[in-house]
Amino acid sequence: MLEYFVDLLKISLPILYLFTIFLYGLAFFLDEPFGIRNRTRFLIGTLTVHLVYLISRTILTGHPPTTSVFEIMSVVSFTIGLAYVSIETTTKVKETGVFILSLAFLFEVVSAAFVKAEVHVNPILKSSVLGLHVGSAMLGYSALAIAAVYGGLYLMMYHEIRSSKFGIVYRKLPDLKSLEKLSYVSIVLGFIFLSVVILVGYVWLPKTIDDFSYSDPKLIITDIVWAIYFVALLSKKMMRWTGRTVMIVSMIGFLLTVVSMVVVNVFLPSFHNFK
Amino acid sequence: MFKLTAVSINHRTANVEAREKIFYTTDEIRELSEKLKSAAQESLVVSTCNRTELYMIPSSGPKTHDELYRLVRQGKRLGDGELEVSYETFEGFEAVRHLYAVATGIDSLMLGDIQILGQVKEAYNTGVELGTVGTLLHHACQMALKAGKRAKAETKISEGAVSVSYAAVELAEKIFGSLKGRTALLIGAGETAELAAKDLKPKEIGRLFIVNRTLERAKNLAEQIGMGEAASLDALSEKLPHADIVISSVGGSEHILTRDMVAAAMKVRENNPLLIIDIGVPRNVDPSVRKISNVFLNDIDSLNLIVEKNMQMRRTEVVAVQRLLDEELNDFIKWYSSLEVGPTIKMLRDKIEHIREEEINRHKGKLNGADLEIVDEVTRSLVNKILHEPMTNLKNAENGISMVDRVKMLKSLFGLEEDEKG
Repeated sequence: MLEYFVDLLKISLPILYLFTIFLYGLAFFLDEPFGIRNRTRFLIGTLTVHLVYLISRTILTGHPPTTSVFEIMSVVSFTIGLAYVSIETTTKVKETGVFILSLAFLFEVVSAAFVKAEVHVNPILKSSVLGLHVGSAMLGYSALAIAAVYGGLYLMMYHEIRSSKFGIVYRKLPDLKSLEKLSYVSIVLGFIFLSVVILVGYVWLPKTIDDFSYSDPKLIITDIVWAIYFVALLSKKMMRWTGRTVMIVSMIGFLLTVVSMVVVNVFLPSFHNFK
Repeated sequence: MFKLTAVSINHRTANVEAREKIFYTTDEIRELSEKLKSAAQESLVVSTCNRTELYMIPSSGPKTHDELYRLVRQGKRLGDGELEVSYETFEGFEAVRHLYAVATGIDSLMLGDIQILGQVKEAYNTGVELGTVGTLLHHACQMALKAGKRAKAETKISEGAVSVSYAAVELAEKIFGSLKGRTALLIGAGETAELAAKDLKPKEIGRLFIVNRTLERAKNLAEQIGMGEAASLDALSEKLPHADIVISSVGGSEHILTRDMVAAAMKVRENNPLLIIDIGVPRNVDPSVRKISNVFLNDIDSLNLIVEKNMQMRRTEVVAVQRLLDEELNDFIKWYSSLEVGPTIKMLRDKIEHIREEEINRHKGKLNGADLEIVDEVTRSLVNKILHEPMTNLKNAENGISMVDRVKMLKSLFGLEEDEKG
């Protein structure tokens, strides 16, 4: 019974995200009152269903949904949605939802297509330290994903003004300063969470895993990603990097993160795979 | 009957010269309103640079629109043949609707003008102060102000810059967000610079530099605006790195701002964004400046494009505002009808009661005391029962016929209009 319920939610979630994006799109592109009135309400509803799905899945499998890339993708999708709601509530800017939530939809649709219910998992996955490690990773990558989207929006607006087009992007998006701030705050948050991930990993993993290796591809990639963001943040402070440069670095950083994570998880052997 | 009559001399009926001549100052409005007190139960004068309108509920007998127009002319002491212009006329609820359209800005020369709402409010306050605004115009004005606020909040009729100088400010806000504390640099001290400065000042910019070939003119402009540091054109390179927004509008065939100057300034300002608006013809700024990272160079064509796109957006919003006006007008009609229903019911009851009493008195002699009491009771009950259903239906607004029409019909059927006049 619970299995059917979880499957039903799994199928429903991409549809719900798609409809939420549709409402945000109606408001953004057509100023449609129905979209304007209902977009946030529907997003909160979708996130509630997503939370129910994650809890139900945890009950069904007996472990948190963090044992495979596709389970993690669903959690990242949820945290992106959650982070977006809090940004929308604090800044009152609702025009970026269509872009940020598209990312959440993308993660959720891939997750729903490939995720399997792993009932028997490594006991290590039941550790509470792992919860802190993985939880920080989810929040960190979600924040970096959001930073990248805001970076992209910044560049769109930047080019629209420089080329004197003044289309829908100019009319609807917040000002460049706000987009830069939103992206920068997301990078800082992402960097802090990533630092926690690395710190917890380096302290806890050698004690827990027998075949722990510092030359593990996943560790190296995470360190590289962390170093890129560290250099970017340092350069912003020391070399006074502004707007466009930071946004480009933010997008490159996230692109590199996604590509490397996929390559490492799918193609390279790692101790960081607890099946 | 709703006897509101209105005439409007506006941008569609008169040219700017005529509108200037017919414009009423507050003192002139007071003078005209005092004069109108004997002829009008209620009156309201709205006068702005683009319209002069008189709304009036005559105290005795209807006034023609021409009579109202003459009153407006007399108030300005315009002689016969002097400045004859055409005018628009409105009657009854159409006059109320027109007042709403004025308050929302959809009747303005500059579509969606937000200043008009304040001007309608001022006209209303003057009317209240002078006692010329009574129950009907009070309610009409209150609802017009509400419609104006709703249009601003619920539609995009007032959104976006529709003047070139304000488009420059809007562009700056799209780059920097709030302009509070920012530094602006005006190159040139002509009319364009003045307009730009006037639009920038309310945004609480921190510093304003005005550089001009003639230092004296720059000083005059700074004095006129009430802020700004004047300097000669030679000081341009020195001021440039401090500016976030540069607006250039000087004559001359050579580029005032070269790529080297801007590149050097960007180095000093650590590559922080710089907006340069070149309004000069021929252009004051070397177009290759555009290639420098974080420099936003826009010219007069860019600003015109912003204005045109905003106007286009406002035009599409007119339908939404008209829908809103219809809603507010329906509310006004309901309110007005409720004013008429009560007295009409009372008049009808009084009339039928009068008939009943007359009939009882006519047959009084043929009945003894006890019978008279019974007949009195029976006829009273009969009248109440007969009137109950039509009275309930009269108050019920959901049967397809407007309240105003129902009241009118009732008055006509029972001859209440004659009684009213009598």
